[in-house]
Amino acid sequence: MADDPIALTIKQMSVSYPSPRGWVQAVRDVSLQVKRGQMVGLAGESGSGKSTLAMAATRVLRPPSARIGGSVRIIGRDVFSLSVRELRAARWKTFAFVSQSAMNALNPVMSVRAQMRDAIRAHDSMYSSGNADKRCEEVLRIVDVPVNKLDSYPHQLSGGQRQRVVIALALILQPQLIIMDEPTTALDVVAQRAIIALIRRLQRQLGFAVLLITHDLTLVLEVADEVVIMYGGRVMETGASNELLGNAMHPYSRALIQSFPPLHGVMTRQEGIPGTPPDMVNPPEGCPFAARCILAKEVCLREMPVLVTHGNRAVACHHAAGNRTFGGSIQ
Amino acid sequence: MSARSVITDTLTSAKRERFVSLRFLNTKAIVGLSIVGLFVVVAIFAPVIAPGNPSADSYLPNLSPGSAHWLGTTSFGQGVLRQVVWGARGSLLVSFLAGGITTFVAVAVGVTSGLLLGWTDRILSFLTNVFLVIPSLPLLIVLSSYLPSKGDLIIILVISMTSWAYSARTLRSQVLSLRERDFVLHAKLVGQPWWSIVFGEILPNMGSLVVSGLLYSMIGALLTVTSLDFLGVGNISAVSWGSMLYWAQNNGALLNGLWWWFVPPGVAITLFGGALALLNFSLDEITNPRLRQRKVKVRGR
Amino acid sequence: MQRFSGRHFVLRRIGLYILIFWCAITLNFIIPRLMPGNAASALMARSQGTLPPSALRALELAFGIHTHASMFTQYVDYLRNTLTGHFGISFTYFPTPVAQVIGSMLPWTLFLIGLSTVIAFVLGNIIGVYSAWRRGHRLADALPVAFTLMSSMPYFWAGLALLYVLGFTLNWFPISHAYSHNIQLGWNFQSLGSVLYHAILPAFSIVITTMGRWVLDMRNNLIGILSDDYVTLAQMKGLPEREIMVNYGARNALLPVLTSFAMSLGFVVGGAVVVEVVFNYPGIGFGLFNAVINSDYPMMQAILLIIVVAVLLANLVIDLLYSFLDRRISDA
Repeated sequence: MADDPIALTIKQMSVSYPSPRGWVQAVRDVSLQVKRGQMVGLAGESGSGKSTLAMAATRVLRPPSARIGGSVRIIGRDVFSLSVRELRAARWKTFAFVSQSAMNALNPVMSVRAQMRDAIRAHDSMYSSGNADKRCEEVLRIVDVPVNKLDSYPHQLSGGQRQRVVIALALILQPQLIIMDEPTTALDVVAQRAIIALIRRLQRQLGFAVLLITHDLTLVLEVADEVVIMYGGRVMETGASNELLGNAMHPYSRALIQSFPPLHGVMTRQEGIPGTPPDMVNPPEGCPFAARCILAKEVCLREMPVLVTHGNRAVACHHAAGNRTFGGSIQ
Repeated sequence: MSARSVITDTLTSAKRERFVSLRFLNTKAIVGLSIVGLFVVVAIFAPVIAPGNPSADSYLPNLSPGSAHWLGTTSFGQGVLRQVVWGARGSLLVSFLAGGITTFVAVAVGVTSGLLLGWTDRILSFLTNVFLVIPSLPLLIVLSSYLPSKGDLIIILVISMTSWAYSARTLRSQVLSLRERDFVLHAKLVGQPWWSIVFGEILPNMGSLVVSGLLYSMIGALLTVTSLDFLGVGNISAVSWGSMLYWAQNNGALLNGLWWWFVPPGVAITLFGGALALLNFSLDEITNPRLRQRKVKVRGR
Repeated sequence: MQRFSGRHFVLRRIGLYILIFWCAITLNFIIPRLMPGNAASALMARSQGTLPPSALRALELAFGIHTHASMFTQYVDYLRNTLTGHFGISFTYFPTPVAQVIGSMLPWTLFLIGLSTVIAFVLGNIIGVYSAWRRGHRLADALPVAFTLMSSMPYFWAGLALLYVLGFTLNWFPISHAYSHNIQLGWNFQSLGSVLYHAILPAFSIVITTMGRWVLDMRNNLIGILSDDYVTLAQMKGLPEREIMVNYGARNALLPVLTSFAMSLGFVVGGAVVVEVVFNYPGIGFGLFNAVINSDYPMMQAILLIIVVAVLLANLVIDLLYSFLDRRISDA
């Protein structure tokens, strides 16, 4: 559907932040899109820049603590031109951002109810505690947590319950976009799958868009509509999950898929990717993955491959078919 | 990331704290170090800087500060400046020695308690709690009023024995958290002997806490000994900043307007203690990245 | 996991405090007996003729000299006497019982030191929150340093300096005692005014010298907590900054600050009693000083014990507060 409105557009985003050794170029020229009602996975190893990208796009990270270039639109509004007041009003109501390790995302000294109520109160001038309580119970039911947990404190909940409460919290104002940064890192594999399945189900039912950030590529390939794979601050490959799953073009994507056990299917020997991610203070001139890539040639070290579209997908690799010709269009 | 690279990562991050490099030294640390250094030099070279017996009544009494006597004279005709210079010796000695011994006791108790656990830990923790709650200064006042002799050494020992509890408790909890860290578990797994784990892995990672404890103890010891001297239960026959305050107070320095008698020793104590506190302040900034870094996660906007 | 109620935590702490109290009492029993024996005898010899026989008898009992009772019997007697408030007869205020003298001094100390410690704690925390919140601003960064320097002053010296400038030189404040001698103390405005007026200087010197600890403690804890995940989430929820600062930041940062407050209470109280001496404030600090000067040993030991009890009770109050602020503690 061509006229489908877009939930999130990130255009040519670059982010660097200072460190004692110099500016860390965490994100370099990244563009991506999440359509309304769509789930997009953003995958990469730790240090690939995926969390920095999300934080910069939602203005959690901002100058002077970071240098940020590019533009971001969320539900048709330019995020970087919002006033402080407008931004505060848009947060949680238009888009919710659930940051890393939701295990620690709840305030230990406040009850679940208090932490849900304050979100409602901050955005609803007609706030009444009766209506607020009703909404709190509603969202808890949606995520399958007993309603009597409303007056519990975080430490009285299990890890899975905390995770669900954070998701309930994200749903409470019915945002159109939810960005989730590694929402399941602290959970065991079974609980992780239950949570991801829950997010997927809710997302289809309620129709919000999701940008799911994770290091677990196989996981997003199974649940997301589209996947963006990042490495060394750059997009390596993007495409629909079902296409990427069996037929990843980028050597990095392939290595990443191989380093995680598939959720379904036969267990095979897992291999990590040898080597370590590049130093982002002095990023390599060529392909960031070249140093760890088994296919790397001299050109890979010298020249950064451009992201070239092939139908519905795009890949940035000198080895991908057709990439050395000039036919591909730059996204 | 493979299991091996996880281990090497945690190992290197553990080692990192040992080499807090000097280039992190900030202004506060430089100011603090310079003041402490200055006082140490003054204390060591007191006979050169202000020759003569500081207790001798060699001048006219009650002279206000002027070109002849920069800080005036006491009611006994002693030069205040000369007393402050010589007083640095006694006061710094107590501060350094009592601070050092206190820290030594605190490390011994804290580390033993945190490492051995079980009954040893329970008994030591209880002892720590007892000394935390019994205020050391009143206890010292009572103790020293029983003491037949009040030499510096005895005072130093008594201060050390009553003020180690705070550091011991902080160090114990640090040991408890360190022993669960990956690099200690790793050292245990590969079969390193306990002494090698204690001296090779645990103590080096407590460096900043130990130094911070030492600085606090030095300030505490200086304030304590000054209070004891001021009350007249310390070693008031010797020249120190505290005994100066005692003699000033008991000879009506306030009443007679001899401010130059009691202000300089107090300023000296505050300067020296403040310099130690500044060092501690900057140590916090150096070792705690959250205090040092410019806010990377920024609130609000 | 078995759940304990908050009461269990407090009961556990009370048990600990009773044990510590017992230790303090026993220490009090041991100290005079451990000290070179002739110290007490010398005192006795010195006191012959100046003290009536009944006081000497009390002294003998207190120090266990000239007695044939076993150490154990002495200890039991001592425990019974102490627990029933029979601390003996004061030498200085002979023949008033020590308990009665302390009874008249204690309210002043509780008022002065209690009040100024609480004021210092509250003010210090507020300034600490401010300096963490506005980090990077010049004033917010300078305040912690300034207060750190002030906390390096000996408490009593700050008192001396204030007394000299505001009392002796400018005559703005009274220079000693807790209330004006011209008035009959009672529950009226005149008395209250006089008491407050006399308390200002000593309280102020305690406040400015103790505040630095809490400023720095709160600031450093809060800065740490501001980068915790739940604070980020609160920002993402679009909460007003003030609400984040108080409910998410300060409330969590207060917990470790309270712990170190409890831990440093002994040190603070110890320093504050010397302030009483500077202002001739009629509390137990001044009493302790007089007892030391007059070798009033029963008085000294009773005061030490009272201070320990006061600090223990304050600790208990902090525990109650803590278990109220942090539900985790009651479930641990």
